[in-house]
Amino acid sequence: MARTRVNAGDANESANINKPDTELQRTKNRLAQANKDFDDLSVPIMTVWDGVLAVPLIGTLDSRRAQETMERALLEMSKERARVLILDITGVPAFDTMVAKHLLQIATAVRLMGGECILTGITPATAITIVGLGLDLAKLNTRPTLAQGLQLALKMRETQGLVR
Amino acid sequence: MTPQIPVLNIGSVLLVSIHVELNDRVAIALKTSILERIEETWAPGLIIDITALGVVDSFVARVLNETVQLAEIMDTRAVLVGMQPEVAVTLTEMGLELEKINTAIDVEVGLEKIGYRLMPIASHAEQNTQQAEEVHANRSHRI
Repeated sequence: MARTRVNAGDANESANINKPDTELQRTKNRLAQANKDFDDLSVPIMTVWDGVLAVPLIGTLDSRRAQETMERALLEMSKERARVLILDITGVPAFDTMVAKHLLQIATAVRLMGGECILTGITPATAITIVGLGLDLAKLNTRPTLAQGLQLALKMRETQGLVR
Repeated sequence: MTPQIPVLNIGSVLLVSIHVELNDRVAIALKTSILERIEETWAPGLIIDITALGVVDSFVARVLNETVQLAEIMDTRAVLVGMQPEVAVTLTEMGLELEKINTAIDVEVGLEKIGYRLMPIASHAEQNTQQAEEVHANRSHRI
Protein backbone atom coordinates (compact mmCIF):
# COMPACT_ATOMS: atom_id res chain seq x y z
CA MET A 1 0.00 0.00 0.00
CA ALA A 2 1.49 3.24 -1.05
CA ARG A 3 1.94 5.77 1.63
CA THR A 4 1.36 9.35 0.72
CA ARG A 5 3.42 11.89 2.53
CA VAL A 6 1.58 14.98 3.57
CA ASN A 7 3.78 17.95 4.09
CA ALA A 8 2.88 20.36 6.84
CA GLY A 9 3.36 23.14 4.31
CA ASP A 10 0.53 21.90 2.16
CA ALA A 11 -1.93 22.21 5.01
CA ASN A 12 -0.75 25.72 5.82
CA GLU A 13 -0.95 26.78 2.22
CA SER A 14 -4.55 25.74 1.88
CA ALA A 15 -5.43 27.35 5.22
CA ASN A 16 -3.78 30.64 4.23
CA ILE A 17 -5.15 30.66 0.78
CA ASN A 18 -6.61 34.11 1.35
CA LYS A 19 -3.36 35.59 2.78
CA PRO A 20 -0.70 36.01 0.11
CA ASP A 21 3.01 35.83 1.07
CA THR A 22 3.59 39.43 0.05
CA GLU A 23 1.36 40.73 2.85
CA LEU A 24 3.23 38.66 5.41
CA GLN A 25 6.45 39.97 3.97
CA ARG A 26 5.19 43.53 4.14
CA THR A 27 4.28 43.09 7.79
CA LYS A 28 7.72 41.68 8.47
CA ASN A 29 9.32 44.66 6.74
CA ARG A 30 7.25 47.11 8.76
CA LEU A 31 8.26 45.36 11.95
CA ALA A 32 11.92 45.47 10.98
CA GLN A 33 11.66 49.16 10.15
CA ALA A 34 9.87 49.86 13.43
CA ASN A 35 12.64 48.09 15.31
CA LYS A 36 15.23 50.12 13.49
CA ASP A 37 13.38 53.38 14.19
CA PHE A 38 13.20 52.44 17.84
CA ASP A 39 16.93 51.79 17.89
CA ASP A 40 17.66 55.11 16.21
CA LEU A 41 15.39 56.99 18.58
CA SER A 42 16.82 55.31 21.61
CA VAL A 43 20.36 56.37 20.77
CA PRO A 44 20.20 60.02 19.83
CA ILE A 45 23.64 61.53 19.32
CA MET A 46 23.66 65.30 19.62
CA THR A 47 26.31 67.87 18.83
CA VAL A 48 25.99 70.14 21.85
CA TRP A 49 29.03 72.26 21.10
CA ASP A 50 31.67 72.57 18.44
CA GLY A 51 33.54 69.30 18.75
CA VAL A 52 31.43 68.01 21.65
CA LEU A 53 28.91 65.19 21.31
CA ALA A 54 26.36 64.09 23.90
CA VAL A 55 24.56 60.75 24.03
CA PRO A 56 21.73 60.39 26.54
CA LEU A 57 21.38 56.66 27.07
CA ILE A 58 17.81 55.64 27.82
CA GLY A 59 16.76 52.19 28.90
CA THR A 60 18.68 49.05 29.67
CA LEU A 61 22.10 48.92 28.11
CA ASP A 62 22.47 45.39 26.84
CA SER A 63 25.34 44.18 24.65
CA ARG A 64 23.53 44.85 21.41
CA ARG A 65 22.53 48.40 22.28
CA ALA A 66 25.95 49.12 23.72
CA GLN A 67 27.57 47.94 20.50
CA GLU A 68 25.15 50.02 18.45
CA THR A 69 25.77 53.08 20.63
CA MET A 70 29.52 52.67 20.29
CA GLU A 71 29.46 52.31 16.52
CA ARG A 72 27.11 55.22 15.95
CA ALA A 73 28.92 57.48 18.40
CA LEU A 74 32.28 56.78 16.76
CA LEU A 75 30.87 57.40 13.29
CA GLU A 76 29.45 60.70 14.45
CA MET A 77 32.77 61.56 16.10
CA SER A 78 34.51 60.97 12.81
CA LYS A 79 31.99 63.05 10.88
CA GLU A 80 31.92 65.98 13.31
CA ARG A 81 35.62 65.92 14.18
CA ALA A 82 34.43 65.72 17.77
CA ARG A 83 36.95 65.59 20.57
CA VAL A 84 34.68 64.99 23.54
CA LEU A 85 31.85 62.48 23.94
CA ILE A 86 29.51 62.91 26.90
CA LEU A 87 27.65 59.75 27.87
CA ASP A 88 24.69 60.44 30.10
CA ILE A 89 23.33 57.44 31.99
CA THR A 90 20.55 59.15 33.94
CA GLY A 91 18.07 57.07 31.96
CA VAL A 92 19.78 53.74 32.48
CA PRO A 93 17.81 51.96 35.21
CA ALA A 94 20.16 49.19 36.25
CA PHE A 95 23.88 49.70 36.54
CA ASP A 96 25.88 46.51 36.70
CA THR A 97 29.24 45.04 35.72
CA MET A 98 28.19 44.56 32.10
CA VAL A 99 27.05 48.16 31.76
CA ALA A 100 30.34 49.33 33.25
CA LYS A 101 32.26 47.13 30.84
CA HIS A 102 30.35 48.53 27.87
CA LEU A 103 30.93 52.11 28.97
CA LEU A 104 34.65 51.47 29.43
CA GLN A 105 34.79 49.96 25.96
CA ILE A 106 33.15 53.00 24.44
CA ALA A 107 35.58 55.24 26.32
CA THR A 108 38.55 53.21 25.06
CA ALA A 109 37.42 53.37 21.45
CA VAL A 110 36.81 57.11 21.75
CA ARG A 111 40.30 57.60 23.14
CA LEU A 112 41.85 55.59 20.30
CA MET A 113 40.26 58.08 17.94
CA GLY A 114 41.82 60.94 19.87
CA GLY A 115 38.80 61.92 21.92
CA GLU A 116 37.83 61.98 25.57
CA CYS A 117 34.76 60.49 27.23
CA ILE A 118 32.81 62.06 30.07
CA LEU A 119 30.28 60.00 32.00
CA THR A 120 27.40 61.98 33.48
CA GLY A 121 24.18 61.20 35.30
CA ILE A 122 25.54 58.95 38.01
CA THR A 123 22.94 59.03 40.76
CA PRO A 124 23.84 58.38 44.41
CA ALA A 125 22.24 54.94 44.09
CA THR A 126 24.37 54.17 41.03
CA ALA A 127 27.48 55.41 42.82
CA ILE A 128 26.77 53.06 45.72
CA THR A 129 26.25 50.19 43.25
CA ILE A 130 29.55 50.95 41.53
CA VAL A 131 31.45 50.98 44.80
CA GLY A 132 29.61 47.89 46.01
CA LEU A 133 30.54 45.97 42.87
CA GLY A 134 34.13 47.08 43.27
CA LEU A 135 34.20 48.50 39.76
CA ASP A 136 37.20 50.55 38.76
CA LEU A 137 35.99 53.49 36.74
CA ALA A 138 39.13 55.53 37.37
CA LYS A 139 39.76 55.76 33.65
CA LEU A 140 36.51 57.61 33.10
CA ASN A 141 35.92 61.29 33.68
CA THR A 142 32.66 61.65 35.56
CA ARG A 143 30.35 64.52 36.43
CA PRO A 144 26.99 64.45 38.19
CA THR A 145 25.01 66.26 35.52
CA LEU A 146 25.09 66.76 31.78
CA ALA A 147 25.55 70.49 32.33
CA GLN A 148 28.65 69.97 34.43
CA GLY A 149 29.85 67.43 31.90
CA LEU A 150 29.56 70.11 29.24
CA GLN A 151 31.52 72.54 31.42
CA LEU A 152 34.32 70.00 31.68
CA ALA A 153 34.15 69.36 27.95
CA LEU A 154 34.64 73.05 27.20
CA LYS A 155 37.59 73.21 29.59
CA MET A 156 39.12 70.19 27.89
CA ARG A 157 38.83 71.92 24.56
CA GLU A 158 40.62 74.95 25.90
CA THR A 159 43.55 73.10 27.40
CA GLN A 160 44.03 71.12 24.23
CA GLY A 161 44.10 74.35 22.31
CA LEU A 162 41.31 73.56 19.94
CA VAL A 163 40.78 76.50 17.65
CA ARG A 164 38.88 76.23 14.42
CA MET B 1 62.55 55.34 3.22
CA THR B 2 59.92 52.69 2.63
CA PRO B 3 59.16 52.88 -1.12
CA GLN B 4 55.39 53.06 -0.81
CA ILE B 5 55.17 55.34 2.23
CA PRO B 6 56.71 58.81 1.98
CA VAL B 7 57.83 60.62 5.10
CA LEU B 8 57.03 64.28 4.60
CA ASN B 9 57.99 67.41 6.46
CA ILE B 10 55.82 70.14 7.85
CA GLY B 11 58.59 72.45 8.92
CA SER B 12 60.73 70.06 10.91
CA VAL B 13 57.78 67.93 12.02
CA LEU B 14 57.59 64.56 10.29
CA LEU B 15 54.30 63.58 8.71
CA VAL B 16 53.72 59.99 7.66
CA SER B 17 50.39 59.44 5.95
CA ILE B 18 49.79 55.76 5.26
CA HIS B 19 47.76 55.00 2.16
CA VAL B 20 48.74 51.40 1.50
CA GLU B 21 47.64 48.31 3.32
CA LEU B 22 50.27 47.42 5.89
CA ASN B 23 51.51 43.90 6.12
CA ASP B 24 53.93 42.84 8.84
CA ARG B 25 57.03 43.38 6.74
CA VAL B 26 56.06 46.85 5.52
CA ALA B 27 55.03 47.91 9.03
CA ILE B 28 58.43 46.97 10.44
CA ALA B 29 60.23 48.63 7.53
CA LEU B 30 58.21 51.78 8.13
CA LYS B 31 59.03 51.81 11.83
CA THR B 32 62.73 51.43 11.05
CA SER B 33 62.76 54.20 8.46
CA ILE B 34 60.85 56.60 10.71
CA LEU B 35 63.20 56.05 13.62
CA GLU B 36 66.24 56.42 11.35
CA ARG B 37 64.84 59.67 10.02
CA ILE B 38 64.31 60.94 13.56
CA GLU B 39 67.86 60.01 14.42
CA GLU B 40 69.16 61.86 11.34
CA THR B 41 67.09 65.01 11.72
CA TRP B 42 66.29 65.19 15.45
CA ALA B 43 62.74 66.00 14.39
CA PRO B 44 60.81 67.65 17.21
CA GLY B 45 57.54 66.07 16.13
CA LEU B 46 56.05 63.03 14.40
CA ILE B 47 52.54 62.53 13.10
CA ILE B 48 51.46 59.11 11.87
CA ASP B 49 48.22 59.43 9.94
CA ILE B 50 46.13 56.28 9.49
CA THR B 51 42.97 57.94 8.17
CA ALA B 52 43.16 55.85 5.01
CA LEU B 53 43.46 52.52 6.81
CA GLY B 54 40.19 50.63 7.05
CA VAL B 55 41.86 47.63 8.60
CA VAL B 56 44.60 47.44 11.19
CA ASP B 57 45.49 44.04 12.61
CA SER B 58 46.95 43.47 16.05
CA PHE B 59 50.53 43.15 14.84
CA VAL B 60 50.43 46.39 12.86
CA ALA B 61 48.73 48.13 15.77
CA ARG B 62 51.54 47.05 18.07
CA VAL B 63 54.20 48.22 15.60
CA LEU B 64 52.55 51.63 15.27
CA ASN B 65 52.25 51.80 19.05
CA GLU B 66 55.94 51.00 19.43
CA THR B 67 56.95 53.52 16.79
CA VAL B 68 55.14 56.32 18.59
CA GLN B 69 56.54 55.31 21.97
CA LEU B 70 60.09 54.96 20.70
CA ALA B 71 59.84 58.35 19.02
CA GLU B 72 58.84 59.86 22.36
CA ILE B 73 61.82 58.17 23.99
CA MET B 74 63.97 59.90 21.38
CA ASP B 75 62.47 63.22 22.51
CA THR B 76 60.18 63.54 19.52
CA ARG B 77 56.59 64.45 20.39
CA ALA B 78 54.55 61.85 18.53
CA VAL B 79 50.87 61.31 17.82
CA LEU B 80 48.77 58.74 15.98
CA VAL B 81 45.93 60.40 14.09
CA GLY B 82 42.89 59.53 12.04
CA MET B 83 41.97 56.12 13.36
CA GLN B 84 38.76 55.01 11.67
CA PRO B 85 35.74 53.97 13.79
CA GLU B 86 35.80 50.33 12.64
CA VAL B 87 39.48 50.08 13.50
CA ALA B 88 38.90 51.63 16.94
CA VAL B 89 36.11 49.15 17.64
CA THR B 90 38.23 46.18 16.54
CA LEU B 91 41.27 47.18 18.57
CA THR B 92 39.10 47.81 21.62
CA GLU B 93 37.55 44.38 21.30
CA MET B 94 41.03 42.88 21.01
CA GLY B 95 41.99 44.65 24.21
CA LEU B 96 44.59 46.83 22.48
CA GLU B 97 44.02 50.12 24.22
CA LEU B 98 47.25 51.86 23.19
CA GLU B 99 46.84 54.01 26.26
CA LYS B 100 50.44 55.20 26.43
CA ILE B 101 50.40 57.10 23.14
CA ASN B 102 48.87 60.39 22.03
CA THR B 103 46.01 60.12 19.59
CA ALA B 104 44.03 62.70 17.65
CA ILE B 105 41.17 62.78 15.23
CA ASP B 106 43.09 64.37 12.36
CA VAL B 107 46.42 65.93 11.36
CA GLU B 108 45.43 69.45 12.42
CA VAL B 109 44.41 68.43 15.94
CA GLY B 110 47.42 66.12 16.07
CA LEU B 111 49.72 69.06 15.38
CA GLU B 112 48.14 70.95 18.26
CA LYS B 113 48.60 68.05 20.62
CA ILE B 114 52.32 68.03 19.93
CA GLY B 115 52.61 71.76 20.35
CA TYR B 116 52.11 73.36 16.93
CA ARG B 117 49.33 75.38 15.38
CA LEU B 118 48.67 76.25 11.77
CA MET B 119 48.15 80.00 11.44
CA PRO B 120 47.11 81.98 8.40
CA ILE B 121 49.66 84.56 7.42
CA ALA B 122 48.46 87.92 8.77
CA SER B 123 47.62 90.66 6.25
CA HIS B 124 50.30 93.33 5.72
CA ALA B 125 48.41 95.94 7.71
CA GLU B 126 48.18 93.65 10.71
CA GLN B 127 51.76 92.48 10.58
CA ASN B 128 53.13 95.66 12.14
CA THR B 129 50.96 95.41 15.20
CA GLN B 130 50.58 91.68 15.60
CA GLN B 131 53.02 88.95 16.47
CA ALA B 132 52.42 85.42 15.23
CA GLU B 133 51.14 83.28 18.08
CA GLU B 134 53.43 80.74 19.66
CA VAL B 135 51.81 77.85 21.31
CA HIS B 136 53.40 77.13 24.66
CA ALA B 137 55.47 74.03 24.23
CA ASN B 138 58.69 72.59 25.56
CA ARG B 139 60.46 73.96 22.55
CA SER B 140 59.47 77.24 20.94
CA HIS B 141 59.64 76.02 17.38
CA ARG B 142 57.73 77.65 14.57
CA ILE B 143 56.45 76.00 11.47
